[in-house]
Amino acid sequence: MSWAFASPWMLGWAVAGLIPVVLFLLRRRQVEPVTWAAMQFLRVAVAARSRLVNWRDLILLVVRVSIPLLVAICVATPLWRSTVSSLNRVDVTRRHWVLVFDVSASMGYSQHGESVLDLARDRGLEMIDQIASGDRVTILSSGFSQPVTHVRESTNRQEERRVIGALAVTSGIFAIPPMLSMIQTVLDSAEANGVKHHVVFLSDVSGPAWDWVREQTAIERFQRLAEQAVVTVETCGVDMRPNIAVTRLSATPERLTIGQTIRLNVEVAGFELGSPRSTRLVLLDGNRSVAESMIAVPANATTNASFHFQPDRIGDHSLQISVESDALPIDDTRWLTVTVEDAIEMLCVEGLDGAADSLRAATATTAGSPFPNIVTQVVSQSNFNPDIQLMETDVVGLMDPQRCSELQSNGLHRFLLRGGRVLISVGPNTDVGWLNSFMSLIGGEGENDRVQFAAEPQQRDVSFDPLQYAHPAIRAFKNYPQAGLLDVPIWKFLPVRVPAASQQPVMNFTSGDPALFTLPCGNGRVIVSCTPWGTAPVLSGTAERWNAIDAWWSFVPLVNEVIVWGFGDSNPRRNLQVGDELVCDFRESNLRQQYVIHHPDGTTQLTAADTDGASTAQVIVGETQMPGRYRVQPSGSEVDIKTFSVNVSAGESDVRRRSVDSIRNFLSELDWRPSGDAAAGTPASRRMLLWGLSALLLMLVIEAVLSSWFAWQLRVSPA
Amino acid sequence: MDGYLSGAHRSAHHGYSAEFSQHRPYSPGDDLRNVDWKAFGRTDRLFVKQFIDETNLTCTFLLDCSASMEFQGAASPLSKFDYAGCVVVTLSWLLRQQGDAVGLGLFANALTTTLSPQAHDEQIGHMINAIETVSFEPDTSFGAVMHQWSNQARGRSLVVIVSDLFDDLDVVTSSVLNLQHQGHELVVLQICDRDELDFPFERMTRFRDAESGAALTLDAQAIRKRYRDEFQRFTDSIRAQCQRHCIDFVQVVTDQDLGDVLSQFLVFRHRQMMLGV
Repeated sequence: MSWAFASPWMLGWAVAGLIPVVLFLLRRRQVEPVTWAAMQFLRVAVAARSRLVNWRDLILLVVRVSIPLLVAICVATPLWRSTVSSLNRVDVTRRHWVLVFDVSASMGYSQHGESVLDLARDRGLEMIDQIASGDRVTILSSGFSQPVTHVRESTNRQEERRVIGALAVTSGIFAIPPMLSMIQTVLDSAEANGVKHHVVFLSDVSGPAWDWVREQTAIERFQRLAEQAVVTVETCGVDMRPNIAVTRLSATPERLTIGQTIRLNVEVAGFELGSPRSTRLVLLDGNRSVAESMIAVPANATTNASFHFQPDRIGDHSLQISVESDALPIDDTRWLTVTVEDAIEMLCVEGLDGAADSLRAATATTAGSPFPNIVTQVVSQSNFNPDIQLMETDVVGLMDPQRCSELQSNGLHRFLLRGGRVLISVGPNTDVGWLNSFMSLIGGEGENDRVQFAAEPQQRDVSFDPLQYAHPAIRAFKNYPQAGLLDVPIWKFLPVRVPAASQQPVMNFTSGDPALFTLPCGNGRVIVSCTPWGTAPVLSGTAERWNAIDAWWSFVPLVNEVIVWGFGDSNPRRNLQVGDELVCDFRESNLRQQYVIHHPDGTTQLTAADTDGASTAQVIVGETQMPGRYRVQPSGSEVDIKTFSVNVSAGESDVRRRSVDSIRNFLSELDWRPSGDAAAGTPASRRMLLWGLSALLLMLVIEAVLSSWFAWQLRVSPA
Repeated sequence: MDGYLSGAHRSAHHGYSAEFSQHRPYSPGDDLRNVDWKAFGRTDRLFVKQFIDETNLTCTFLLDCSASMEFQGAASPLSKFDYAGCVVVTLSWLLRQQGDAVGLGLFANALTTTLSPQAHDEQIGHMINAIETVSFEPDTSFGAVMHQWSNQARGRSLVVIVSDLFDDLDVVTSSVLNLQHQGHELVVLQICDRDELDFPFERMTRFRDAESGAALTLDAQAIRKRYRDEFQRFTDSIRAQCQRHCIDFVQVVTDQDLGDVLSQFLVFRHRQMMLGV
């Protein structure tokens, strides 16, 4: 049992408790001397009243001293901490303590030079000191997806103290479900006879991870845990924690060709600020400052800023945006890797000769063109070898595809999984059966989760419905009706049923059928046009004309916008979150080549490439541990061949205290540990405040009653 | 009462004035001129008529000069002794105007100054001189002083005790009654200061005894009521004892106008005489 004040400064209030004592003593010293004649009556009066007066002075002194002390308690909101001591009173033979430390990124929030984890660590050490010598202790922590067991059922207090003292803040999140599973495993394997289990969570109870406790699944799991153990959540750190964080950094596009301009979108959030604050945003390309600006961060809301940046070299650019450092520095910076290529490598696979002619013509870049440099290569479907030809390819265009071989289908699928883009333009020669089976590789297991094309095309005069230009691939056409997108004559198309869950429509036909849609697949993406982007079938005389897309003036911009978007909408393999696995792919494999991975903290790691066959090599670094820029260099070289950006989860920036009311029923005690100079706001501190105010009110009433009673007893009347 | 002049005051002796006092049975040796023959004719028994003799007055003022009489409250114009001295001199002058003899005894723990009652005009001057040259004594011994004075007093007289009476209650009352038993007529003037009655102190106060010098520090406000009760109880006890034994008791507060005090006192005395007390 101990008392902890939120701030040592608040102890000054306790000094106020001495004021009545000092006043009492001063009052005693400041006596008025009088030469008096009627002493005999004074002596009698004093003899009769001295005891009562002394009691009055003593009691009123105690009451008056307690008033400023109670005020101090109300303001400082101390904590009555009794988890271990109260539980120790339970009469059981032995106990098994499971101390669960949250070491997620938000635990690094610091005030007055002390982080929340420092407070949790201190509390843990304090508990270790209070735990009886024969009791067993298990120490767990979680800062990434998988919890870590540091000590299991130890009775070695020195070892436990050492482990707790060595705990450090990670850059990950506190994942509660796997932690509950780990606790369950620990309890199941622990000795059961005569042992009482206590599970104590030491966390700041912030971030989206704790939002999970509101769900029914969490309630049930905590309920199960409570049946086996006494569960306690010790909330560490102050409740009100102002924090400014860069919560999102994105670029359009993230992959581009040299000469294009990137638009960077930055989202900055202010949590529990109280009032808007200004901060300086700085954009760095590598170590070079590119731009900066001042922004006003609203209280408890987000704001956005944007930068335009034109990379001046080919290769990976690690962009870094920072706000001014604050109490949680880990989220003050976000990184983003954008890849600048000399050209987009596009491979057009023709189901019928000439099917890609229109596309190749549309992507032929001329000098002064606003479009990216697209290098198009055309192969016939019969000559298409994915394992060889896709090594250097960014985008594959399947133009009116016929039935692909299994080798080709699987190669395309692997290409997609690695992050490739596949543009499919259906046409009169398209093998719908193969197309549906290929789509089943992408879609889900169930029938309703798959993309399903109709066996026969539908003949109907329609045009494009741009769906309010919501999709970024056609957003450039917005406000430009003269661009011709809405007037394209279409007479025939292949109807398709796309699962709503996976569908990302770009355009529909005016009949309501999908015209152009995208589907994610692994790290890649499929873009499907339900009417052909070429006139080859017509020219060859094998079919009637389906549309006049390629003859319309909107065709060239439409093709380029879609390809640029498909190529550059994301760079998922380069932009990771802490805890993600860092995998570096190489097209030109050198099996004996070793690579050096430079971590953000300056450490390096030497590793060899692993191959997934004959075509590519991978360097697998494993789970990333910290945010920042990871650079991959061939051993012996100073040139970065790959750059990766790793960021903390934006949820860790949201340090607002979560309510655990949903699981409160299963907690033996919800013990709050305020720290710093502001503990107001926690449920427990509010409870303490209410208790303090009630006690203060009671003391004031007692003071009034006692004063009146003594006055009546002493008959203190006006002179 | 014995005295030099008859008529202004009643004597304790029965004389030959026209004012009838009482009958008493005849005893051999009584003057036959005093036998009430009319009563003999009605009752067939001999009674002797007694008359109140009016005579001139012998008055002695016993003035307390202990250190407690030196007290002067914050709102009072005079100390208790100064005020008491004025009362004594003024009453003495009035008595001298009607030819009475006046004397003075200054006392504390003993009689320090004694002026025998005299009926000449220089006596007032002697009394003033004695009062002005008084030296205050640190202690009061009321009983011893009264005993000492009664031993040296010649004849019976009017005794006016002017004091704050700050001594043991039993000693004060027994001393006064003892004087009365010796045939003296007594008037007790208790001299008080307003502060002694009201006890107006609010803060912590260090009270130093004017006589012994002992100090007492206390919360004045807390004991005010009790002090007043004690003071009142003391005064009421003395007043009750005096009334029971037909002794005039008057409490005089030093912030009162002296003329008002004396006129009220004389009116009070006159009413007492009319009632035959």
